[in-house]
Amino acid sequence: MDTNSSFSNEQVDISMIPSVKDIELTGLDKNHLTVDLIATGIIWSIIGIGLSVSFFFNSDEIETWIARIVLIVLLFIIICSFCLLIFGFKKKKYALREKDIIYQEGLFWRTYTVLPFNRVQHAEVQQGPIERLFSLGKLKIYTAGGSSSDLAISGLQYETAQSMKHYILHQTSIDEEE
Amino acid sequence: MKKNDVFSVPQRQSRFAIIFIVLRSVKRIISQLWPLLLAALLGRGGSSRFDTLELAIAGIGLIGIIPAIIGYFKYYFHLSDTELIIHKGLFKKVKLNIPFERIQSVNFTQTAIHQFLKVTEVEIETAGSTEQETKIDALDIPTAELLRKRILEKKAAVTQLTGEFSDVQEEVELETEERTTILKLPTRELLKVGLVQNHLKPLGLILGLCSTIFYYSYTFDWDFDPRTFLRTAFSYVEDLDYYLAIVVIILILIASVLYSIVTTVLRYYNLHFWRAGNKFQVVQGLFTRQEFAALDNKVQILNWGQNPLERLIGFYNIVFSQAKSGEVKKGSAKFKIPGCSIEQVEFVQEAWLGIKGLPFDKYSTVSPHFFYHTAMYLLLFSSILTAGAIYAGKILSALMIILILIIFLYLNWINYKKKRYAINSTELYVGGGTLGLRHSLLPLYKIQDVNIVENPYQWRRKLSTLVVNTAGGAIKIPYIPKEEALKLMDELIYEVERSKKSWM
Repeated sequence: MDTNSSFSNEQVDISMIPSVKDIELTGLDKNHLTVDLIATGIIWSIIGIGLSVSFFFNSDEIETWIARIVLIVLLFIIICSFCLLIFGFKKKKYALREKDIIYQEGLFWRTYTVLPFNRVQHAEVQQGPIERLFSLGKLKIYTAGGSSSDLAISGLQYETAQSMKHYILHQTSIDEEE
Repeated sequence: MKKNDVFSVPQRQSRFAIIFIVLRSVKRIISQLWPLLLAALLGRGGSSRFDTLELAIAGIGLIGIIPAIIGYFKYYFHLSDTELIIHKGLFKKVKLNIPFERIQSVNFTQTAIHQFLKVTEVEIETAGSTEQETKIDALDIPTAELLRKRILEKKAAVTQLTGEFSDVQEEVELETEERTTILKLPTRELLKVGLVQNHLKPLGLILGLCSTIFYYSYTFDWDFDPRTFLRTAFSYVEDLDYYLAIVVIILILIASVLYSIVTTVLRYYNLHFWRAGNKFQVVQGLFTRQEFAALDNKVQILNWGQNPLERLIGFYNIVFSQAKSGEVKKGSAKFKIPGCSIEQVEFVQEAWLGIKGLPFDKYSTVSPHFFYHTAMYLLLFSSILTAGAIYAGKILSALMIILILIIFLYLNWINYKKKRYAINSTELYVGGGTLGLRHSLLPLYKIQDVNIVENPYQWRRKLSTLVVNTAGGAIKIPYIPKEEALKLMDELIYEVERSKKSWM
């Protein structure tokens, strides 16, 4: 079926295959941590205020020590979630290669993804309201492998995200032409 | 091709299509109005006179059905030189143009009513993911077959003309094309297949049903009490309460085996599985005749295996994992052929890969930590339970927990022992199973992306789980050394980036 006369199939030395080990990964923009902390802070303050208000108005029915324990546990969870964000931030790194994009994340549960450009279906840059304040953006790359194999990298400078998107789509189209 | 080509002028469906359209809208109306219907039924009491609510429901029903009938008369389809064109719509006129090169396959489905009326539903599967599902409710069978033939002929002509998609495989089925039957299941074999299905699923279902009946008979004062019923039914048995438990257990086991046999027969009756051109096709079913086609390029992972019962009599099942596009029905994205022999499995493998699969140099096993990690949790969890049971003075329960623990540890150990994987220059193989066996085979160019995931237990020991994503699902290789995972990742990615073959 392949009528391409330039077809070749030479033996490949395994040690010559480019390795992901040699790649230097780039960290995310520092403001990404700030954005994450603000967003998480807002969510926790809403929950915290809601709980406190409901305790205040039901103080007759709820024993004080129960309320104290709940609030202490909540505080503990909040501190943990902030710690996870702060320490997890350093673990989020990415790299672009000629033919694929690499992304790693996770403090305790770590993932390391390599996504070849010739499998990209679609790429886009998203920006939430807090991200807009810091001119950050989120690069989303879709493949045909379903939601589990789509890649999202947040905490990129908006300009960087845009140019990465263009680069990826350009590389994808080159591949299709070949 | 031009002369006596009936499809060049707009055509209606078979008149019987009205029945299916009406049935569908009745179903839709019932699903939307069922609380009202229920209220009407319950509220009616003994009086036989229609009240306003019932009249209203009947009215809404009629108003819902009339557009459906008119819709039939407004539905036309025809074939141009390059497209299938469908006109439809009552108030909003819709014209659907489906270019032939986008059409992946043309499938027939016959429910019992279809079979009785000697018509078939025609489903046109397209490559696009956003495209609405295109369906013709009823065509008489000769017309449907002619339509399929014409579409595929024209598709072949269009594809050749434009020269596009030349490296993409397309469904080309011409009259001369040979069909190689891979498997036919006569009734006796079919019963055997039913006998070796996974009976745990219906067992769960029946246990659930029983417990619901018991629960309701306790909660509400029913006339029917299952305990009294069973006692009366088996009143000749002495020492009743002791035997009753055994009798009930046996009855439930028989019921679940019967249930799997019946569902198997309904589903796979008269199964015919064949290879034609570049696709696998299957026709099956007693009341609903289903037809699935799996094009080679759409199949992403080929799975085959045996459950413990199938191992006893040497049956294999084959599961095709196809690329999921938005509207593809669940059943056709992943479909299973039961009752195959190992030769048939090998035939399917070879036909799908296009070549006899290259042998694998070596099969690698995974790290024993795959076993240790789960075993650790099992031990921890069960020791807490056992301690609790002993503390409460329930020695028998404690012994039971330990027994269950041993069984789970054993299953987990087998699972680790059977897990293996292999890679050569074109394919990836992963196999495993506990009591049964499951093998998955994947050509490297069908990979979408590759992940390495690690939980704390793993990265402290420099171990990784490799996850390979395809458009038809993921394959995992758990607990291998990180060095090995990175090396595999490099190799897989290299093959994907180098390959000029389209994954679909």
